[in-house]
Amino acid sequence: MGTNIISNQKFLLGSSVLIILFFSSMGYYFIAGDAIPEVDLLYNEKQELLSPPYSPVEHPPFGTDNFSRDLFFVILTGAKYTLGGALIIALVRLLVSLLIGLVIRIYLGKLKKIIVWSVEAFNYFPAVLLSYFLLSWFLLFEFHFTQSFSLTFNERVIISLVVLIIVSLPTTTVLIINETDRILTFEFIEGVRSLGGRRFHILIKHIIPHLKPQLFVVFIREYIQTLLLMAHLGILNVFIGGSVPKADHFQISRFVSLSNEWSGLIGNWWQFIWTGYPWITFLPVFFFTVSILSAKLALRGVEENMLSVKSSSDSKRDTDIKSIESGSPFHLLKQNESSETEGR
Amino acid sequence: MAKNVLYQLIKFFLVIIGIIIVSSFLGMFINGFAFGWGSFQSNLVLTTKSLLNPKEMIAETIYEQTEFRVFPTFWNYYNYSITILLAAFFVTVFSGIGLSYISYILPKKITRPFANSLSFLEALPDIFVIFVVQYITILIYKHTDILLFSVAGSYERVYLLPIIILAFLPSLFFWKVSVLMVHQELEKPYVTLAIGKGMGKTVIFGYHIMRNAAFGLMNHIKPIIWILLSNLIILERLFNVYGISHFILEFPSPQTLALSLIMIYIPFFVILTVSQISISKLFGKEEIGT
Repeated sequence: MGTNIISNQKFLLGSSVLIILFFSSMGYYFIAGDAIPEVDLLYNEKQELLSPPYSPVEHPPFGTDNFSRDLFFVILTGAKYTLGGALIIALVRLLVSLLIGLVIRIYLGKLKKIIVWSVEAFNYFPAVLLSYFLLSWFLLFEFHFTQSFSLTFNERVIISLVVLIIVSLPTTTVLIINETDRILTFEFIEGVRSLGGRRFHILIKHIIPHLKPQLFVVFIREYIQTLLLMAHLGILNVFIGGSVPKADHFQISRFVSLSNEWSGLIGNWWQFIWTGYPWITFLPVFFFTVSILSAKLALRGVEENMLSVKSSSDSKRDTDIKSIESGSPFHLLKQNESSETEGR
Repeated sequence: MAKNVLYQLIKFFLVIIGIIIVSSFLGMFINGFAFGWGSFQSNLVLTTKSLLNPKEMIAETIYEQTEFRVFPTFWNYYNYSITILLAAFFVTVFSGIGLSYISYILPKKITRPFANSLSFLEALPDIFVIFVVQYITILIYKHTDILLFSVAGSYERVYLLPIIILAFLPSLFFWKVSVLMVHQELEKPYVTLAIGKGMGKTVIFGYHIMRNAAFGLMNHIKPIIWILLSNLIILERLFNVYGISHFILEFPSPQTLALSLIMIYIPFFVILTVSQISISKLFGKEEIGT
């Protein structure tokens, strides 16, 4: 980690966009308790009725949806669930896989190869399908069959979080194992060992401090992946924030994102791209894009910062390797590969 | 060589066994929740049996509970998706390398603004790209009555557009990776020597840099397949084409899931193995086991 990550402009800009989105959403929750105003009939200058849903021009800034809800507030209230949920998921993913990875690498070194090999199948098993099948019964089909959910809303949210954490554990754990491997090849580890450093000592005093900056990068990557995965699940009609059937403006019963969580909005609203109200589809897509771009900008900032510190302290060659590694957003999968090739 | 082939075969069977195990595990969550060793075991047996005897394999829908034999209907879904997937894969690899070749031979002054905007585009999520394409298609249709391509196809098979959309983001990603690889090679003394000998840029790139960067690039192929596969599912869903993801999602069961994923894995396994072996043979470096 750089001496001062806050001074990196890219990191600052990227993370502050996310923070502002999240906290304005939280703020609104404490002020108005997630109340979403419904817009009454609107007239144009000639006192003629406009037909809802209103476009962003008729009802700025974002217009209204097929329930006549003000879209600005829909997006605002949903932000905290999407951004906050992804934050929790990415954080727990990181901590759990760190724990498992370190235990495997330090105490079960011989199992390493078997574990790395068995994760191979996940390279051909998309995470979307994995989490879709784990969740679709609880969140979607059970209601279609029995007209009710056997799990409460809170239980459903917890299950969604657990599933989204679990699906990335195999690959993230392998990544941690490989990073630990890399640190263990440093020359000073040899010195520590001959001076009598135990495994636990090496772990606490040497591996974890060296792992820290890398972990931050992994965390932001997991965050981006989680956001994308949530959006994809939304398109497959599995809404993390829960869903309820509700009759809309056109008297059609639809599954509606209960918490206005963005992935649910994407799934609900994609059909509007075919209608005269494409802005309804555009909003959640746009906000997902903004969040992902901001996170990627922050990531780039962190990587630049690491590079600048590294090049001043480490050898040139090491910097090159670093830049290659950090250049790839799919670090974790690539790491998996390279360790295998090294292992042979 | 023999050892390498054996190694690849072991890996091939490990992946297939892994897919069967994961599919059987997921089977406990499909059409009801039956979590337990017993149900996992019966899923495992059923999946393995029907994979060994594919002619008898049966698929059923979620709602109507109608049953039908998977083959030969399966080919209908599969052929379409695998065509798109493989085409997008080759487009990705060749355009990625092609772009890095262009950014190598052209002077930096010209390429830098392009490189910056392309790496910005690379950061966009796939849903945004799909939205833009669909919206533009509708706009064009509205104003000119020309339907560039049927945007919601179901049984109509559109090929060109899905391939372009699917390959768009991975191409940029692969381009970025190969530029980094090429950049790393450029600093090595053999390139300086080649330049000093008066070799042309194209020769240096195509003959010397690529043969050295090929190994590094191979490591990035698998993540690309993974991205392509994930994005294919979303793409097929949003364009409402009846491809492999329609088959998986409409007739969910451990058998159909395992069958589809294995059938997608096989051609990619062949491509990866063949290119792996031919790269080792052509360029004579030590064989690596990807």
